[in-house]
Amino acid sequence: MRFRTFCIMFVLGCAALLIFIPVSVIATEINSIPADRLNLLLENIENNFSKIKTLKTMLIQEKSIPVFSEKIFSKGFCIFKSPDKLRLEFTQPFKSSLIVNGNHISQYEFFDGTWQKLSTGNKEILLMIMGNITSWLKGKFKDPKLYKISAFENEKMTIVLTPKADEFKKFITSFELGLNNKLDGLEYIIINETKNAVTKIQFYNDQVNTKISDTIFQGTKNGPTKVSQW
Amino acid sequence: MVNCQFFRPCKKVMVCLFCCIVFFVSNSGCSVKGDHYQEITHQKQKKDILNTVADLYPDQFKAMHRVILTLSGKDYVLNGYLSVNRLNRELKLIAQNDLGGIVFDVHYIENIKNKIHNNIRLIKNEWLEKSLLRDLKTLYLLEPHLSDTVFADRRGRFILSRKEGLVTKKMIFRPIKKQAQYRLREIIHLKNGKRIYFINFEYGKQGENSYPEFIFIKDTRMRYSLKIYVQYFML
Repeated sequence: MRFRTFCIMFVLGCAALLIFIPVSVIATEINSIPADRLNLLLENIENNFSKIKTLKTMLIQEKSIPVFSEKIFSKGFCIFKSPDKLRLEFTQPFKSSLIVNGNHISQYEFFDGTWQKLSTGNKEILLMIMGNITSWLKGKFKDPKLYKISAFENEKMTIVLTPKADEFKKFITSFELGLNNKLDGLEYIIINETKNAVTKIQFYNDQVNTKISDTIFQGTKNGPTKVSQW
Repeated sequence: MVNCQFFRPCKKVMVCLFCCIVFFVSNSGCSVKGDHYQEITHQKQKKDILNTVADLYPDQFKAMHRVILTLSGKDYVLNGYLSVNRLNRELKLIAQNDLGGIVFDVHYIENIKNKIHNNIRLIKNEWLEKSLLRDLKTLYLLEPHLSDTVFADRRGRFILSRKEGLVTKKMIFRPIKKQAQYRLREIIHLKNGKRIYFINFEYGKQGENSYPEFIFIKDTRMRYSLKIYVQYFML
């Protein structure tokens, strides 16, 4: 009796393996979006995202760094006002603020109890990166000069941007942009870097199309304009 | 009888004499920022002092640095991820741009390995090899030697001094409140009496931390400064 049960279990186990292995292989193949569907998908996403005029979202940044076995967490928030205003601020463990208002960039660091305005040295690079984030928040993922674009769908739809230029590839292997179920907002950005470093920025507690004053994007010498928590 | 008339011609001479006395009195012995200090030559006493100032950090630890590098009047923000093994005399550092992307990385083992990989043109390899590595070694691998000249001042500070070529290197330790231990507060490099490099260490607003929370480095020859906020991850 016991031997019979064992045989049945063994056969069922083998059958399960035979069924599930090919399914999982096929699944990864099916999940990548083919080129003809990709264009339609991107148009649909851009149309959905174009309804976002303002966005306030909290964020948690999770970093995996080769020299650290533990993950490094930072907290902050992001405020966006279409078409070209973006504020990215970290509140923990270090306080810093990066504000883009059109072509103007302001950078602050919180030292010794006060905000200090920095004389930004790498303005062009920061403007380029912040410009990329602004485009993504507007649903514009296609940038054929900079990135090769692809998408896959598991639980969520994810857009993958792979840098084309060798200079860029030295820093970033790819960006993964995770969309929400309605395909009308970003849930996370994963930055796959060289040397197996990975940064994941998870957005939460979004507020879409609430009134945001322009002063939020106008820093002074004494620091960025205060933002009340939401 | 000597009257006021006698002093009038001598007035200038007396003022000069008074100034000379003040000058000699103030400069008798040595001084750091105007504080008198005395050399400790007694070997046992010196050893005891070195024991109280040593072991600022544990043998192994990790730290995250939030760094503002100021170069030619411009600020660059970097995040440094550092692993230190003081027993192996080993340092590993990954420096990332503020918004992600590895700018450079360093793996150093004293007398064995010195690997620096730089990803951007903005930072010169020479700066990484000479300045950055020197800063890291000074911050995390520097240790007091018995060969150092040791001074003590009236405020209870100890100054360890050593000469390397034309440069005099000083480490200034101050006592921790109500404890018989000392913390490194300053490192100064002097050349021809001029300060060419210094590091300040701050241990929190109340000076309550065991390890520096804020570090300021200034190199006047290489014309850069570093403001470093540190978060530690002890092993």
